[in-house]
Amino acid sequence: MLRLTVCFLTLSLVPAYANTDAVPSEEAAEGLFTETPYSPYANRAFPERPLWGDTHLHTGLSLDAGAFGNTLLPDEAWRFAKGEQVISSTGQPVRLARPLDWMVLTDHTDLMGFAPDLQAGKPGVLAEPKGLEWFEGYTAGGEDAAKAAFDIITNFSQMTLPELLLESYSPGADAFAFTWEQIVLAAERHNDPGNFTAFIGFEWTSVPKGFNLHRNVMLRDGPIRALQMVPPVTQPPYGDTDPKALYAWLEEYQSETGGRAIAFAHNGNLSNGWMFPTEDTYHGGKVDEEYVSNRAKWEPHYEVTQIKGDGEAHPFLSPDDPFADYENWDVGNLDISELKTDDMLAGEYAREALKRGLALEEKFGVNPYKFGMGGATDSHTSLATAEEENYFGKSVSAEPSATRVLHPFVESDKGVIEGHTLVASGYTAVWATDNTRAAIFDAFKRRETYATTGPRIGLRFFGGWEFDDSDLETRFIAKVGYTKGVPMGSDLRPREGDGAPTFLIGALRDPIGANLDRVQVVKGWLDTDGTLQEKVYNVAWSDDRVIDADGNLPEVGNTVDLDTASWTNTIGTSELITVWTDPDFNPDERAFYYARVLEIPTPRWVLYDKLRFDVDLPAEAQLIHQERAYSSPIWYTPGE
Amino acid sequence: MRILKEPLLHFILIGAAVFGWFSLVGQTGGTPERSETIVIDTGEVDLLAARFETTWKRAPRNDELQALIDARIREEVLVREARKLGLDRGDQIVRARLAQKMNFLFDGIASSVVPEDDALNTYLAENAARFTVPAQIAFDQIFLGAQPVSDEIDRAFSELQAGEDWSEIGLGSLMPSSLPLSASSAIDSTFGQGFSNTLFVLEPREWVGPIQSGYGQHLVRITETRPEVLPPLNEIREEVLAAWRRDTAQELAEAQYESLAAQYRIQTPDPQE
Repeated sequence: MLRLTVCFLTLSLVPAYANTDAVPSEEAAEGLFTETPYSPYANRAFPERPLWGDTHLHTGLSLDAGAFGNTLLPDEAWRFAKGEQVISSTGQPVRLARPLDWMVLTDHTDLMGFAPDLQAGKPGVLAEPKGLEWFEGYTAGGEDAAKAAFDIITNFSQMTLPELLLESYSPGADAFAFTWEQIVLAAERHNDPGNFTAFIGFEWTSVPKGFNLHRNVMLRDGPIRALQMVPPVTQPPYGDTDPKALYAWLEEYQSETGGRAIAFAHNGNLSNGWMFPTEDTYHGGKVDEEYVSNRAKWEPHYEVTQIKGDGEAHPFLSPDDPFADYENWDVGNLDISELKTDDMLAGEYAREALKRGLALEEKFGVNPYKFGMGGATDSHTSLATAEEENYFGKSVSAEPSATRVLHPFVESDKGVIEGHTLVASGYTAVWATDNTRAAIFDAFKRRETYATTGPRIGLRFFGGWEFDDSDLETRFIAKVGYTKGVPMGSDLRPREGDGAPTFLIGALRDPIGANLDRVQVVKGWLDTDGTLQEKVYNVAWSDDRVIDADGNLPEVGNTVDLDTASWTNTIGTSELITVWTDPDFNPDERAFYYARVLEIPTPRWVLYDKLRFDVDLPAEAQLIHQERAYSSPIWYTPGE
Repeated sequence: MRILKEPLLHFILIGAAVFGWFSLVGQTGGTPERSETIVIDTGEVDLLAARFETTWKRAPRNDELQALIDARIREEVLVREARKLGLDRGDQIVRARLAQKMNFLFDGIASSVVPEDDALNTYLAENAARFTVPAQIAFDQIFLGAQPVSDEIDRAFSELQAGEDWSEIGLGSLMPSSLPLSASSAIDSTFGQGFSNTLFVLEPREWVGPIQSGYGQHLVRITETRPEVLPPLNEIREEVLAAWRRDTAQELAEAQYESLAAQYRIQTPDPQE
């Protein structure tokens, strides 16, 4: 505890020294650091509860969301996230079971603000033949509207948008600046420090030829800084799809405004191998020193699970992991203009990227893929719903209806992604001491976040060199964790003695959710031959199951009643706490460790649809799944 | 016959046929009356110039202004002729746009109304729940397990009475043993729905229990409470005004529509038939 205090005080004192020449005498400093503070609440510098939020949500201001008929604007999105009831774009009343603590609103910057003008049939839009065609489709509704929406998205991802429209809704145009102002001011109106944090953000929608290279951006700042610049776009000549262009914008934002910003990618599974390159980038660049340092600097976070698929692991890459086959979308790229092949997968999934990062760090001395984990909805309905029984879909066309499970969500002449494979996921939990922009943003920077596929599973994950079973007796696991080790997202402290790393791990089920099946530690490392390896360890589990010699654990069972979409917490457990020591540690090998927590089986959203709408589901629709949480990793780097 | 290969001529002939057909079909069709005039007055010219200036940040040159006026005349001629041919009827875009403009009109009326303070105060009082800053509560808790037997509960109480360190009593858990001042939403998201409701009625500074959470039974001691407050209008005027406008616009739009719709007899097919 003492160490932590000193560290905090030092941080806050440095600027003071910088401003004055005075250095306090040793006598004056005496008494600053007493062993036991008088106030029992002092030194509680660690967070008590995780703050829940969504890093990725679109309103009707986004090109595709609006084209699909989303008429809800930022105000409604914020009110909904705060727990108020709103009427969805399809006229259905909807409310979250529990409000969120914070959110980043990330409308697409390309053609930002075009969609509401299209919906309103503004003369500038109708003057363009394509604009008129889309407006006709939009007002006709139904199939015609969906066709128009897909045409817009296709023209966007293939970069064939009409020039005039592009000019009127790109940086430099008034409409673009006013939309940005609208977004910034709405966030400011709803930002309520201490109760609810509304982040100013946007999505930089790079999708060259359908390969998803999207990045979300969140600002630490308020309107005074945010309004000094407009966000960047990807459509030439106003922007560029190369992430280098985004990094340049971030650099400029920080130096021009004095603000702070980070970017984070998502859906590597739709990039056809381009999300986590090791040699060449999509844009013809090399993965060189400049690339790795930029990526490491600007992207300390990754959105690992969301509606368009879970991207932690893939069975092809992790054949020994029976839980890797979870909600993967592996048909092709974003618009299925190119099908997926096995050789692409390694450049797409988070676990593999963390491994690749170790190899690149060996080569360049910088790890470009040293990211924390988060989940988000990426919902385009203005409604951040990630819970199975209250799921409002990916877009307005996938809001609750008797047919949404039957319609394909994406379809091309090459392949199809069925509507029932949409994922009701996810949220990000942040270990921050205050519910403010500064505190949460800083937690993202130090990667003290974790992802869940929707349930509010509590997860503590600390790494150190001297955790032992006596630490399980403590009533203040956080206090022990932070003082004897480092939290999720950190580097292990330099090795002391000749032991292996130890981890203090605690998982608590969602207070209104399903029990827990098991906690696992996923380890990835670069072995002395230069080969990347991975292993999944079962470290804590329920129901006194017995693990076999190979480390396999029997399944937890299943209580889901398909006729009522219910389950019982008669299997599994509320809470799992353990101290785990790496049994295969080699001090010469770079490694990372993260925790994965599995719930007992529960119904998927399609089962609720089946019962509420009385529809016959396609035979291949998955009805049951095991929801999960992924901690940010803790890294080990060999000493000199 | 070179003339038949001339595309422009084809276009004109087809055009003449279409216009002829529309004037036969259209009830108000016919050639323009000689007396009909199009007047572009100085007010309108100024408007065109002003619009140019907002786009280009400079006044239009004379030839540019003339081009704007010509375009305006051209549009007017075509619009008048289109109306005479009835082209505005049955067009889904024109209909949707007209209906939408009526809605804009309703909205515009609502947003231009500046309410008296009295009206806002009344609105605030009627919707007090929406603007109330919720009560907050801070507490310590001892976890007794999912289904403790009465012995275990009694033991916890007697340990408390014996003055033992409360944080060591009961079962260890990942739940926070103390929560600082928190609103009920934050408490419930940590301990489960309804937990906070039980806490708000408890006497402060006394251990009470068992109390049911999403995880099991607890003993709870309230350490601090902050009652809910309804801030005065001055502190939250913007928020109240925005909500008042939102509600009023909806009511007004609905009332306007009702009064307009009341002027029509509406017939729809009988569902029985």
